[in-house]
Parts: sequence; C-alpha cells; structure tokens
Amino acid sequence: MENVGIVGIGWYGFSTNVHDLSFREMMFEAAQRAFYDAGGMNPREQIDAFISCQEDFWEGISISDEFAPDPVGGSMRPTMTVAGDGLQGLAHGFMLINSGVADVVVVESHAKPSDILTFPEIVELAMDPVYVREAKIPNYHFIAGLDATKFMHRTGVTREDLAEVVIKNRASGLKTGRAPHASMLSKEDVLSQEMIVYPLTRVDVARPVDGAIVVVLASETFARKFNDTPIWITGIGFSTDNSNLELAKLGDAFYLRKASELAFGMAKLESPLKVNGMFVDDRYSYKELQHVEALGVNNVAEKLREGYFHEGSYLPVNPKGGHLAKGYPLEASGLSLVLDAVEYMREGVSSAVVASWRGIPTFTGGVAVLQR
Amino acid sequence: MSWDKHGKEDELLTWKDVMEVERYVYTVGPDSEAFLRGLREGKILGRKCPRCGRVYVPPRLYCEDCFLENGEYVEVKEPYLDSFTTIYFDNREKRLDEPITVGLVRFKEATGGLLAIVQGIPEIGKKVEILEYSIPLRVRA
Repeated sequence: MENVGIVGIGWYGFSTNVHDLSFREMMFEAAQRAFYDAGGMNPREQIDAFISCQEDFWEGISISDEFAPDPVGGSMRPTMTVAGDGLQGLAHGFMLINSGVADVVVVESHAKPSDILTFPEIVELAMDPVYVREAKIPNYHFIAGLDATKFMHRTGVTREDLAEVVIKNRASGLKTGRAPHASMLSKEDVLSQEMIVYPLTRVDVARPVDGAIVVVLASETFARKFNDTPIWITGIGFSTDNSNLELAKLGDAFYLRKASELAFGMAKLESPLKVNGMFVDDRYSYKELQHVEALGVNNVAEKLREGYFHEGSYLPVNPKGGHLAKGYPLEASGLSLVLDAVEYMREGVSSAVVASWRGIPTFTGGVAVLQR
Repeated sequence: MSWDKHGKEDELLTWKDVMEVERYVYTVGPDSEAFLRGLREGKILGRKCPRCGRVYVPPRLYCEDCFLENGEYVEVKEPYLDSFTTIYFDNREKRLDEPITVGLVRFKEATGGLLAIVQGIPEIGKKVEILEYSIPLRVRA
C-alpha cells in the first residue's frame, strides 16, 4: 500500500464576489497555481486521474460534472466527480493512489455562491420535501439553532464561549490573504449583536465565499519528483450520521466521531491532543467546539476558557481563521481547511488534523490526519 | 497569473437565467401516506422493526440497522421536546413580525421525531401537548 502525499496546492478567489471570472476560469487559475507549487509539473503528461467535487444545484447546471475535466488539465483523461465536500474527494484520491490504481491524482473543488441569486431556496431544496421543507420554517439556520441549543445544554458551553470563538477566528483571519470576513471584534461587539436564530447572531454565522482550490496528490514513489517536503495524509475517513434530520443525533457531531475513528485508526494517532493544530469546520461558532469535541477532546468549554485553542497555546484551533473569517466555499470548504493546514505546516509544524462538514442540512463530515 | 484581468464593471458580463425547479411531484410512498392519513385522524404513527423493535417516526418501510422490512404501524405517545430554537429574522434577514419558536418533538420509546411550532416556555426534555396535527406540528410546552 503506497503512502500518499500532498505535493502541490493552489487556490483562487476567497472574495465575496469574484466578479471577473467564471467558475471554470477560477478552476483554471487555481490549477495553474497548484501545478506551479508541485515543481512546475505538466498536468497533461504527469497526472493519472482527476477528481472534481461539486453539486449540480450550486452550479446552476445539471450534470455539471461534464464541465469538470478541461479547466484542471483533465481533458480526455480519467476524470471522476464526487457530489460532496472536497475532503471526501481527497479520500477518493487517497484511495486511488493507496490501492495502486494511480500514482498522481488531482483533487479540485470550487464555489461561486455570488452567482446564486436564490441561495436560501437552494439550501431548502436539500431538505426532505415532506417532513422538513414542507414545515416552511422561515430561516434555514433553524437546524443549526436546534443543534446548538442541544449542544450547549449538554456541554455547558455559553454564549460568552461562542463569542470567544468568533473573536479568535475572525482576528486570526487578519493574518491571511484570503479572509474577507476577518475583523477585530470585542466581546461586547459580539454579545451586543441581535439574535438571528437563537443562540446565534449574525457574527456567529459564516458567509458563503467564492473560491477554487486544487490539490495535487502523489504516491511516495513519485512524491519527491514534485516536492522535496510532501505533507503525508496518514489517515482519512468520512461518514454520514443519517440522511434524515429527525433520525440524526442533535447536539453531537456523530458524523465526525465516526470519521475520526477511521482516520485516527489509520494514522495510529493515539490522541488528538498530540497534533500541532486543528482545522475544523466553524461555519457556526458552536460548530468549532462541537467538532473539536467529536475529534475526542473533552471539556471543550473549559479548555477554550483557559486559552487552550488559541494560537501559540497547546492545541491551536483554526489558527488561520476558519470559515468565520474566510467564508465557506460550499463543497470546497473541506479543501479550504486542508489549504490552511498545509500552509500552517509549511511554516514549520509537523502535524495537523482537518475536520470538514458538508453544512446545513447534512450530517456528513470527513477527517484527515496530516503529518510531515 | 495567466492573462491580464479586467475588473471594470462596464467590461464585465453576467448572464441571467432561471433554473426551472418550481414544479416537481414527490412520491410520498406507502409509509408517508399512512402517516399523513393518521395525522388527519389526530394520531402520530410510527413503524416497528420486527427484529430490533426500533420504532421509526415518521414511519419507514425498512429498518436501517437490520435492513429488514418494518412490521406493524404503532401509534406513538408522550411527546417531548428534544431541542428548540427561536427565529427572529427570515432567510432574507428581514425581521419577523413575531419571533417563532421551533422544536424537534420526539416520542417515548421511538426514534426520530417531527418538527413543531412551540407555544409556551420551551425546555429540553419537557413534555408537550399537541395542539394541531399538521406539518409542522403545533405544540404547547
């Protein structure tokens, strides 16, 4: 079984509106950067397979996978799509290499939410038409509200704790070049905001963002041909709790508990506390804490209050700002966390965990363990 | 990186179109049909797995754990609030005339549940009274 490394990564966008380029052009731009990062590789000759992660309703085009190959160099080459988050696509790329089917694989995902003029209605189309959509609840964030209330009741996490997550992540984003929602906020700024959906205010909720990300994976045999210091994916897994809101566990990210069991087992990672950083989906402030807990960290509220998750402390969580600062690029959200983790590790640390979620109304997430 | 880019508004083009998704017929299937008929009679129906005994609400044709066809329909009782939230603004960030409290109502010895509009003071775990058998339910906490 071949080890799998990240040998190149590129991105484009991370703006609330990339007005000048279409999603296909954004894919091309991100791909160019990833191939340059992978030692200036030639995608037409040196890549065995291409994977694009996308969902038709986001694209506004049905059977949009037909448009996947050419913007990333995959015209007339083996290409597959994953109708899911980019981290699920990364897992598929990992499997192609690990099983010996391919040596070099490109994984791509992108988002152009600024093109979607009826965003909430598209989100609602993902809900069960009879039991959930038919209820006509006037704000789709209500699912996060139900989940957050139960989570906070179970764990003792308070509104002040959520404010701390918002302040930490939005400030951390100020150090990066791709965080349009980064800002310096005080506790009073956050706590004085009006509730949108209890217990969440506007600043607790991340916004969608335009962006494209391309990752180049290679087997251990080929990795150093493209990059002297590959970042190894030592464990990866993804899981769905339940397709039905009513049957899924509220207040607990069960999908990430299952995914992390798979990933940590594969990586032989005894404890999540042994990594240098965590990059978890925080598209709602409470989700950061819920996801960290699901990765196996106990007493998240106490640890947050002690400063445990802040940069420079024991276990930095989202030290590049997470989705609260960057926005969430729809199906590219997981890859955006991978991108943060890769940049963070290239600054000198040796390990990170990435944990993605596919967003409302899903109960699907993925976990990857990265090591150098 | 790849070419000169133009950012001036008058040089840009967007193509507006309508993605037709307004009309679709969803087949509800026999279980939802039974459930909706029950609802009309003021009953909440679930369906029980013959092997593990799990009762699904809303009812389902099959048990996802045992992968067997579920058996009898059973009327579930003793609704309680599993969680709740209050909505102040709609999807377009327009303030609602009155905030709405939404809950997930579950039933004793059943898995699953139903969305509900909640009157009264909501609390996790609190028993509720069903005022209106509809989607969503209307309940009093």
